This record gives sequence, C-alpha cells and structure tokens, in this order.
Amino acid sequence: MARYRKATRFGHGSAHVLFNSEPYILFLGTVVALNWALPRDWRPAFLLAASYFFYAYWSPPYLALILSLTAFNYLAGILQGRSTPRRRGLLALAIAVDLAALGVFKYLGFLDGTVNSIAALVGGRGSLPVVQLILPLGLSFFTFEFVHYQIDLFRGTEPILNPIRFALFPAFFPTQIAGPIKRYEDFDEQVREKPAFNVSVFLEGLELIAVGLFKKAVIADTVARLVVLVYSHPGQVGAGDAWFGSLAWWIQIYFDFSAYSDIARGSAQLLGYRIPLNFNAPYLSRSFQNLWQRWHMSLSFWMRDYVFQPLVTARGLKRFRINVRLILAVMVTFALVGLWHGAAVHFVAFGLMCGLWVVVDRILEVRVWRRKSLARVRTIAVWAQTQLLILVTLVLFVVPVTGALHFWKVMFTGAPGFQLLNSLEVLQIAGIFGATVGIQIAMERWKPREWISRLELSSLMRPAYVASLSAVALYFAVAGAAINLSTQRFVYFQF
Amino acid sequence: MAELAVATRESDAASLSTASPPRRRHAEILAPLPPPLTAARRRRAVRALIILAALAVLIQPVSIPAGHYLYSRLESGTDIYSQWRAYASAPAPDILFLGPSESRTDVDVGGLSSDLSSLAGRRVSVKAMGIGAAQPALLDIVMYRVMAQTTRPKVVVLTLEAPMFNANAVCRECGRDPLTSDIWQLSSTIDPGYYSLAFQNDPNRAELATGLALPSIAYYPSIGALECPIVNRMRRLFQAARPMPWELQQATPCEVGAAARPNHEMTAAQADGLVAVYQADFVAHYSLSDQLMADERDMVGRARAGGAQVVFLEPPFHSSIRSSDAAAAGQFPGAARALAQVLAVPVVDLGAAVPDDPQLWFDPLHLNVKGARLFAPLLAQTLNPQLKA
Repeated sequence: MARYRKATRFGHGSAHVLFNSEPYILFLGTVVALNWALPRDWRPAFLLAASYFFYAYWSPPYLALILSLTAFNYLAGILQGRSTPRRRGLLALAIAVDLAALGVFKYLGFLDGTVNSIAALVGGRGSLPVVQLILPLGLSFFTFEFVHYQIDLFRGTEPILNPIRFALFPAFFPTQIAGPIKRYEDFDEQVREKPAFNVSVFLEGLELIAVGLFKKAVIADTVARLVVLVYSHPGQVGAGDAWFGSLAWWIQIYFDFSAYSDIARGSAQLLGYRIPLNFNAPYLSRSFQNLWQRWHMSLSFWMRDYVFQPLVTARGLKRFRINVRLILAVMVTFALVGLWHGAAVHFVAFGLMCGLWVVVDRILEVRVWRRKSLARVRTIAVWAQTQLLILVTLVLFVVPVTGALHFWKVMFTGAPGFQLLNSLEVLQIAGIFGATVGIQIAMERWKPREWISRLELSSLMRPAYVASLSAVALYFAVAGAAINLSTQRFVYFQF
Repeated sequence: MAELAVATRESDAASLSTASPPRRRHAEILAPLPPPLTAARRRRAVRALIILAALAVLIQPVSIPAGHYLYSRLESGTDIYSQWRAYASAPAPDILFLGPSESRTDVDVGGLSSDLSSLAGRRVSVKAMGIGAAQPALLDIVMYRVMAQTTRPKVVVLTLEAPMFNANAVCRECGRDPLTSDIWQLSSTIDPGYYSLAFQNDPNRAELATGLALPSIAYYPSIGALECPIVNRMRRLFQAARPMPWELQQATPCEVGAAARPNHEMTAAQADGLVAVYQADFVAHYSLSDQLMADERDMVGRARAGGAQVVFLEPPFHSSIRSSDAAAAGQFPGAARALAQVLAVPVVDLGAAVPDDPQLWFDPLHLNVKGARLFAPLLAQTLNPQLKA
C-alpha cells in the first residue's frame, strides 16, 4: 500500500519534460550524441526535429501553434526583407498576430474577469464568459522572440531565408520552455557557422548543468518548504516570519530560475551553441535599475530595446518634458514586465512597484547617496536599501494584492518575532543568503573559475566538481522525494 | 525630477538616440566567448572529459550490487530482489504464495507450514513472495522466473486484491513506474525469455531498455538509503536542539521501509488515514483493466504449464476496506470470480475471516504478526481440501 501511495497521483498535470527529470537527461544525452555524430549540414534539421519532438511530448496539438506562428513570421520576415523602405504596416500586422496569440492564450481569461469585475463594480452584471485556456508552454518566450525578429527587420537587419534555420530559432529546445529570450542574429550566426566540437565549451556545458541541478535540488527545493509554510498561513505570521518568508522566496526564485537558465545554457553548450545570460549576481544589486540589469536579463534588455526606448523616443510623447517621458516609459515598461509574468492584478502591481522603485532609486541616488559625507557607507547602504525594497516588492509575486497588503502590514506593524519559522529555519535562510552574497562577490572579484582552468590540476578538479555537484543534487532529489518534497516544477515554467 | 533626467542622460545617452540601433546592441546578455583553446587548455579539458566519461562507465557495473544492497536497506529486506534471492537460494516449496504485499504480511509461513503438515500428515513446505503494489504484469514475470528454476512449487496460491486490476493504480506521468523498477531489480539473469517477457509486459519500453543498458539510471533512487545513517547521526547531534529541524523530524525512507514489516498494532487514526487514501486514490478512480486481467490469465497458464496447481486467495481485509470495495470498486469481485470460473481456478475467499480487532491489524489492508498467526490455522483448514483435490 505504501508503494501505491507513492506511485499514485491522480489528476493530470502537464507531462512536459522537466529539466531536472530522468527523461530530459536521456533525451539530452541522445540528442547530443546524435548531433555530433551527424554530418555538420544535417545538424540544424536534426535539432529542429528534436526540438519539435520535445514540444510535442508536452502536447502534440499545441505543436500546431508554434508551427503556424513560425510559418507566419517566416513569411512576414521575407516580405519585410524584400521591402525598401521597410513596411510599418507589415510590422504592425506581424506584431499584432504574435501578440494576439499571446493574448488569447494568456490574457483572455484575465481580460474577461477584469471586465466582469468592473461591470459588477458599476452596478452592471458581468456577463462575459471567463475563458481559461491552457497556456502553451514557452509561449511568452517564443512570442517575444518573434516580436524582436520583426522589429529588428523593420529597423534594417536581414531576414533568415532558410526555413529550417528560421524555425530552429524559436524552437531550439534548451530555451523553448522558459528562455532565455534569444536574439536572432546571434543565434542564427551560430547556426550558419555550424559550430565545431569544442571540448572546453562542452565541459563547461556539463559544469553548468551540474550547477543547475545542484541549485534546484539542494537549495531551491529545500527553501520552497519554508516559503509554502509562511505564505500558506497568513493568519499566523509574525513580523519575522513575513520578512524571512520573503527572503526565502527571494532565495527560491533566484536559485530556481537561475538553475533552469544554467541547465538551458549548459544543454545548448553541449550542442555547441551559446545562448544569452539571464543572471549576473543579482544579490549584489545596488539599485532597482541595477537589479533589472542583473535579473532575468534576457527579458529586461528585451523590454529596454523594444518597449522602453521606443516609448522614450515616441513622437506622440515628445510634447512632454524628458523627465516626464522617462517616468512614463519606466512605469509602462515595468507594468508590462509585471503583466508578462502573469495575467493577474498582483503581477501588474509588482511591475508598477518595480517601476516606482527605479524612479525613487534615481532620486535617492542623486539627492542623498551622492553626498560626500555618505561616501563611506554608500555602497553598503544602497545595497541594503535595494535588498529591503526587493523583499517588500516580492510579496506581490507570491500572493494577490489583498494578501500582500496583509503581509506588508505584518512586516511593518506586526508583533516582532517568529510564529511559524523556528530558529534553525531562520538560520538556514540567512545562511543561504549570506553565503550566496559572499560567493557572488568572490566570483565577481576574483573569477576563480578562470584561474582554476589554468591549473594543470584542473583536469582532475573539473570532473570532481561536476561529479560531486551531481551526486549531491541527486541525493537531495531522491531524499527530497522520499519526504514528499517530490520533484518540483521550475517556477518560471508557468510564465 | 530634473535629477532623474540628468542621471539618465548620463548613462542612457546612447539609448535615447532615435537612429537605427547598432548591431549587437544587446551585447550585455551575450554569454562570454570561451577563452582561446590553447594546446595546454585543450589537453586539460580532454583529460577532464575522459575522466568524467570513465566515471560514467565505471559507475554502471558498480551500481547493480550497490543498488541491491541499498534497496534492501531501504525496504528492510522486503524489496523484490531480496525476496527473490531468498526464494531462489533454496529448493522450491510445496506451496508458494505470490501476489501483492498481503502475500507476505498475511501469511505466517512457519505457522502455516506446521498446520498444513499436521493436517496432511507429511511435511508441507511454504514460501511467500509479496511485492508491494505488484500488479499481474509484474507477477507474470516473477512467475516466469519461478517456473524457470530447476525445482518448482506444486501449488501456487495467487493473492487477489482490488488494486491489482485497476488501470489507474499507477500514474505513469507522475514519475518512475514501479513495474519498470521491479523488472530492473529482478534482472539477475541472462535468460532471453525473461527479457522478452519484460518488454512484452512493461508499457515503458524505452525506459526499461535505458535502465537495462545503464544500470545507474535504474538504481540511483536507492541512494535514498544513505539518508538513514546521515539522518540518525544528525538526530543525535541535534538531540538537544529545540525544536529539532523539520527535515530530521520526518521518517527516513528506511523507517518507512521498516514499517513494511507488520509488527505493530493499527491505531484508529492510521486506519482512518489509510482508508481515506484508499478511497480517494483507488476506489474513486477504479477502472478494471482488460490488460491486467489478461496478464493474470497468462500467469495462471504459465504456472500450470510448469506443472503447478493454482488457487486464488482473497486475503482478509478490514471491514472498512471491504465496504469501500463493495461500494465503489464493485467491478473487481465480479471480475475476479468470472476469471476464476473461466480458468477453472478454485477461489478461497477469506476476506472476512479476521475480525476488526485493531490488535490483529497492521493497517486495514495488512495483518500484523499476531493477526497472521491467528489467520494461519484458518488458512490451513481452508486450503487443505484444495490441496488434496
């Protein structure tokens, strides 16, 4: 009976391949082996077939969506490439179609619900049927890749004419589900060049995968229990629980998403490709602007290039003063960042709050932190200020607005102390955060990986590093499953 | 606000330009290029890769005995390999009980052997193999191995329970299928017939093949057993700590495995909890599987082809389980009877043979040691006429 209980879980969750699962490791191993065994010219087509298989494993019918969007964007791109000057109407149509797909699957339910709520507020009867469609995996990511492709073509870059090379750009399986959001020129350049096997890049790919598995199984999934503990008992939280619960969430979401990104980058490197970075030591952020230059970089730089800058330079906004334009652009950009994360009011509020802190940060920087008298404490103080604001803001990422208001109230006016977390759990959260900050400082200053790779001993140290990280990750994954923490989905899969 | 504009002008001057964006404007997010591959760097990287590959190859043969040992620790010797090794290490018994876990927990092998011996007037040997959550697809494979031995049992008593024929008993999308895992562990043979049957009965063929080719994939979950000594040591270390860390408060996998040896009495809370799970997981999603029924037919045919007489046994269940089965999984008893009739297999129904006294039960599905001891004479008396026949 005990085994039945372990083996049986009814209800059909999505059956996509998790990066931290056996099927993915097998799939990756097979694809890597075949990729290098095949003649160079066949590799893009093979990778495309493997990527479509990967997508269809989750839901064969939804493969039609990525196929049709790919075909549409390919044709739109060719038409745009043939036009001199580039056609604004074609760009608008392409973006409209791409965003419509995103809108229908991701935001229709949200829109219906919001219209009904507003109608109810003004005394009417909300009568729009609320549509809840299954969000196709990775839609938010590959839609943004298509939009970037169309905008860059409009700005003068050349389209990809080879259909296989074009189709591989959004479909490439390591980035298919949760990014990083690629830029087509870099990716296509690599596909065209048909990367040769580079043993150093391959080894680094294995290291990245081992690090990703370690981050996910050992840290993110362990801390997840404490996050659930705090946020599922809002009525019992003390001020300490609320602050440390938020810190635990800050740890979980970073380790979870960066683990995913590491595995994605590692998988791509095993195939000879480099994909964008998503993180650059975000715990060292010294302002909110700096945070978004270090956190989910492929999204934030996408937003900078395709939302923020066009807004700042938009003709319609030229009548406003530059600072008003900047604030408007920041707020709109961050509202969209929030909305991108999910079709819910609290995500939009999260984005707006991030935008507000970017503005406030700038004012504080100029008015307060640039004073000579504060030069000595400046670095630590702005870092602490940023981290505290992150902890406050991140509450909106976990719970709806009403729940967040409750948590903020507890954070700032609640009884001090802990009701849910015990001293060891508090120590665990603080220890992980402190150690990570220390490691990120060390990595940024001394770049230990570089000098290790120069050592003759690295030929022993690097395999030992990969083997020990993988073994510990495996042990935690197995032990975690045994105490019902079971293999957890990556947080960013839902976006 | 002016400060904001000034500050932004300083840092973002380039980005405010309305001119076409330069190529590679997103250089910030590009992964750094690998350092040039010098001869020394290449040599070191190649060596490192060879060491990793050698480790990956070496771990394959090592993982089989290590996996057997760790699974045995994990499940207190009730894992399929330990049970099989115990069975195959001695000549076949007169009577073999085979089925899900009840075959092991409900049958007091020593007591039953002595009761049957006194009834029959000669020594009757008994063995039991009860594999947790086993369905006919697996039991058919075990039967193959039993009948491939040089000595074979004269009578095979096949235990029946409702989840055995439930197509929804295992969520194949939720993780590793226990069927595949058990087949891997039972693969201590070079008999091609075994592998042919394994691939025939296991729907997860790709996974099965992978685990057979790469045993480390098959056996790595057994490393959960390493947790037991680590946690025990940590518990001693944290004995004085108040509170004990949550992770250390949880039962280790070995402690869960130890619970598979029914030597304690059921409490009302445990009974209620298990009945609730039973109803929510099995009864509510019960779907009689034609395939599993066919596997059972094959197993009976295989036993008979090996010269053994087959008897179906409906073991004792707590009344709460019997009423759950009757209420919602009513398909099972009828189907089991019909199958027995078609195959002309006698059915020994002892489902209500043991009273609900909690002192006799480990949980509502399994008897404890005391219950099995009480059940043995009853079982002997009921089985004896079948054996004579």
